Amino acid sequence: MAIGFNSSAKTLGIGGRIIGSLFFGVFFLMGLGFEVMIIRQTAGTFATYNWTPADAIILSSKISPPRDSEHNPVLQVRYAYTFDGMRQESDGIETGSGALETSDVYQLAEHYAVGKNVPCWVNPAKPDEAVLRRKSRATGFIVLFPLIFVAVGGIGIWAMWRRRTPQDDDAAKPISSRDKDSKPGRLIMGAFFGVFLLAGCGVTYVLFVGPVLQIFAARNWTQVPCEIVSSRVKTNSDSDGNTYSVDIVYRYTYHDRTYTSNQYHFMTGSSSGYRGKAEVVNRLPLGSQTTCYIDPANPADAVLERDANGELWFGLIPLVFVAVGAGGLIFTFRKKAGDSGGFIVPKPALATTGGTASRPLASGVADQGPQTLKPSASPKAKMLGVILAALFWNGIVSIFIFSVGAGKWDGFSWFMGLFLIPFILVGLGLIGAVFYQLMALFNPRPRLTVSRGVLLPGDTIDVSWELQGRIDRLQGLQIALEGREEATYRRGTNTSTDKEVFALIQIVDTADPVAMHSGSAKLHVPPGAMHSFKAANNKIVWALKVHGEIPRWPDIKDEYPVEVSPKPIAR
Amino acid sequence: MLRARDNPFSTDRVLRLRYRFTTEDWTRLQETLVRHRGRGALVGEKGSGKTTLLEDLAIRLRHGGKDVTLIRLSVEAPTLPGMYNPTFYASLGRNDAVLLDGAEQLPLTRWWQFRWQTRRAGIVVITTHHAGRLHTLRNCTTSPELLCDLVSSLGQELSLAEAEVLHRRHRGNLRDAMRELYDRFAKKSAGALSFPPLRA
Amino acid sequence: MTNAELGLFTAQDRTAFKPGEVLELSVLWALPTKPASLEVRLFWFTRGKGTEDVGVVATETIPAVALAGEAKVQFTLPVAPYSFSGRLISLVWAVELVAEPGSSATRFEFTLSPTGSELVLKT
Repeated sequence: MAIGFNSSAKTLGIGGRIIGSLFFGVFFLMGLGFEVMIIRQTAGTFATYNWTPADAIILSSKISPPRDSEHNPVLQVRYAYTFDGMRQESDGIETGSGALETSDVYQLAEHYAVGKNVPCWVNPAKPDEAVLRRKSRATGFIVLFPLIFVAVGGIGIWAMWRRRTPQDDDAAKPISSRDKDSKPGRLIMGAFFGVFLLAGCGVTYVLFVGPVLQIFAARNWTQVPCEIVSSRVKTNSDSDGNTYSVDIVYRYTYHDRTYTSNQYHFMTGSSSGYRGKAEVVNRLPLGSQTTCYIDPANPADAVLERDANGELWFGLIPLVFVAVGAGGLIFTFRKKAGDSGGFIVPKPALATTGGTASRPLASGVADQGPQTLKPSASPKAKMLGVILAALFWNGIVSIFIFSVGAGKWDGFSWFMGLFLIPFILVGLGLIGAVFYQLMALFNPRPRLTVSRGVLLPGDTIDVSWELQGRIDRLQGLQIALEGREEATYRRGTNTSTDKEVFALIQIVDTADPVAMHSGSAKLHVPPGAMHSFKAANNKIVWALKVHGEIPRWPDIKDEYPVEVSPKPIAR
Repeated sequence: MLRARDNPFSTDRVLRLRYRFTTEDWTRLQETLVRHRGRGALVGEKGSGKTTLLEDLAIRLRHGGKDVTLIRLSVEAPTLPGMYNPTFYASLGRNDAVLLDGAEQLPLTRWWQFRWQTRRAGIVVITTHHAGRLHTLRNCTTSPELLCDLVSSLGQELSLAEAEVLHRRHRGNLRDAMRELYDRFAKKSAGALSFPPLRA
Repeated sequence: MTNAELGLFTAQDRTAFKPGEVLELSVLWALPTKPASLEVRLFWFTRGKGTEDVGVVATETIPAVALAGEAKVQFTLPVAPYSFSGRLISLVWAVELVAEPGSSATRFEFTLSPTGSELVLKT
C-alpha cells in the first residue's frame, strides 16, 4: 500500500462511492416509485372532477362484516343512473384503493339507503364507471411527501460524486481567510434540527395537545342516549407485532337526526394490551344501550369516554424530539457570535440630529436612562450549581464506598479504601461548598442602579446602591469598576482562559453603616478606556464588583457586567 | 509594558513552530503506517506536540495527493460533529485520510463504531494520551533540550537549567511551559533582555 | 508593505486612522498567471496568549482582472473595535489583498482608534 507523502499519484475511492450510491439509490427509487403511485392515484381523483354529474337511485346497500379483526366492515352499494339515454348500473363509491373507516361505513350506509336519490359522477369515456363521492382536491398535496425521499436520495448520490476541495494549511492562508464563519454548515445543521423540532411538535400535537383540547371542550358537550351497533377489538399488525384498539360503532339521535360514530375516546392510535380493550368491548356489546357525549354545535362529533386516561401521557414522549430539535437549533445559531470569529461590541448610541433628545449630553448622545444591573450569577444559581456538582460527585463516590464497605475487609478493601480517600475529601469539600453557598443565600443583597445603561469613555455617571437584608453584619463595602482581558487558549483537548485586570477604579470603600445601607457616587470612566469586546477566544470585559466584608461568614462577592460602548462618531 | 502582540511567546508564534522531525523520522513513520495498513496513533501526554505532529502529517498527506479530513475533539466538544454522518463515512475510499485529534474523548463503544465506520479509508491516524487504541506510530515525548530549541526558534534564549526547572514544573507539558514563558516575558520591563530567574 | 507581486499603499503612507474615516488604498498587482479573483479585505485579528480571532468587516472585489494592473479601493472604517494592546490580547486592524487561486496575499496593518494611536491597556 502506497501512502506516498510526496507522491503525486491520485486515485479515487470508487468502491465506497458505489456502495454509498446504492444506499441512496434505494431512497431515490423508493421515493420515485411512491411518487409515481401517488401521482396516478391523485390523477384518478382529479379526473373525476371532469366527469359528468348524474342522478342515481340506490338499488341495494348492505354492510359486510369484517373478515377478521384486522380489517374493517365493507359497505356494498349498487345504484342505477341514466347516461346518454342509456340506463347504467355501478357499485363504485369513490376512486382509489383504501378501505373506509368503520364509522364512515355506517354513516355512508345511512346516507346511501335503498331507494334514495343521490348524485353520482359518470366517466364519459366509460359510462358504466361512476362514483358516488369525489375525494377532496386538497389530497393532491400528498404528492409532495415522497419528494422528501427523492431529495434525500438525490442529494446523497450527488454528495458521493462531488469533488471535495482540498483544505489548505491554515498557517499558509491569508489571515482574512481564517474567518471561520460557516453559514452553509449552520444552515444544514439548522435544517436537521428543524426537522426534529417540527416532527416532535406535530406528533406531540396529535398525541397529546389535540386530545387535551378536545377533552376540555367536551366538558360542555351534551349527553345523549345511544345504541351500540358494532363492538370489537381491532388488531393492527406490523413488523413490531400487534397493537389493539377499541372499535365500537354507536348510533344516536339528536334533534330528529340520526348519527353514527365510532369515536371511543380522544386519544388516537392503537397500543399493546389486549385485555383492557376487551373489557371495554365486553362492557359495551352489540345492541346495548349507553350514553355518549356530542358537540351541540356539530352533532356529528361524538365520543363515548370524554375523560383522560393513562394512555394520554404517552403522548408526551415526542417532546424528546422537540427538546433535541429546539436545543440543537439554539446551539447551532447561538454559536454564530462566538465561534464564527465574529465579535460583539455594544452599539454606540446614535448621535441626535436636532434637539430631539430630552437631555442631550456633552457628546450629543441620546440619554439611555437609568438601569438596574443584574449580577452575572445569582446566589440561587450558584447554590444550584454547587448542589448538582456535590450530588453528582458524592453519588458516584458513595457507590464505591458502599461496595467496599459492604464486603469483608481484606487487603484489597483496605487498598480501595485508601484509594478513595482523595475522592472522599473532594466530596466533603463540595458538601462544605453547599453549606457555604447556603450561608451566602442569607447575605444582604446589593441592588445597583446606574444613571445610564451605556457607558462611554470619558463619561461620568451616577452609581447608586442599596443593600437589602441583614446589613448589620456588614463591616465594610467596596464597589469598583473592573476592566479585564480574557484570553482563551484552545489546543489539543484542553481549553483554558487567562484573565488580566488592566483597570480597577474604586467607587466606594466605606465602613459607615449608613453609607453601606444605601448611597450614590460618581463613576468616571477613563477617557482612553477600551470599550467592551467579545469574540470567540478574546474578550474585554467591564464589570462593577461589589465586595462586602462579613466576619465569620461568606463575604458578599458579586459582579455586575456593564457595557462600555465605543464613542459615537462625531458628525 | 510589553504589548501582547510583541510577546515572542504569543499563540500565533508558538503555533507556527513545527514538530521537530527529521527526514528519517518521516520515512520511519511512513513505513510503520504502511506496515499497519494505514492505521496508527500518536501517543503522548498533554503538551507533547501530538496535535502539531498530526497537523504536519496532514500537510504532507495533502501534498501527497490524499483527501485529508482532520477532526478535532476536546473536553468541551467530545463528540464527533454531525457532519461526520453515514454519508461521509460511505464516501471514504483508499485515497482518504482521516486524522482524529483527541481520540481519548470517545468512549470505547463509540471508538469501535468510529473504527468500523472508517474501515474503508486508506489512512486513519489518531492522537491519544495513552497507547492501545491503534498501533503506536510515535511516542511524543519532550525534554528540556527540546524546550531550549523551541525557545531559540522564537528568537529567545533559555538556559538548560531554566528549561529543566520549567520542564519539571509542568511535567513535560511544553504548551503550559510556553504559557508561563509568555507571562514571564510580559512582566519584564521594556529594554530588559533576560528572563527573571526561575525558581525551582 | 509590498512583495514582488502585490502591493497596498495609502496616501502619505498613513498608518493611523479614526473611526468613520475613509481609508483609501492604491492596489498594485503583477502576477505570473491571470488570477480568478482579486479581493481586498478589511479585517481585524487578535494576537497574544489566546487563540486567534479574525473578523472580516468588508470586502471589495476587483473586477475583470488582468495579469498586472492598478486600482483604487476605499473603505469607510467602522466605529469599532479599536486597536488595542494589553498584556494578554492585542487587536490589530489590517487590509489584505488576496489573489486566488494560490492564496497569494499582502497585508497592510494600521491603527484604528479615536486617538489615532493604539490603546494600551496598562495593568
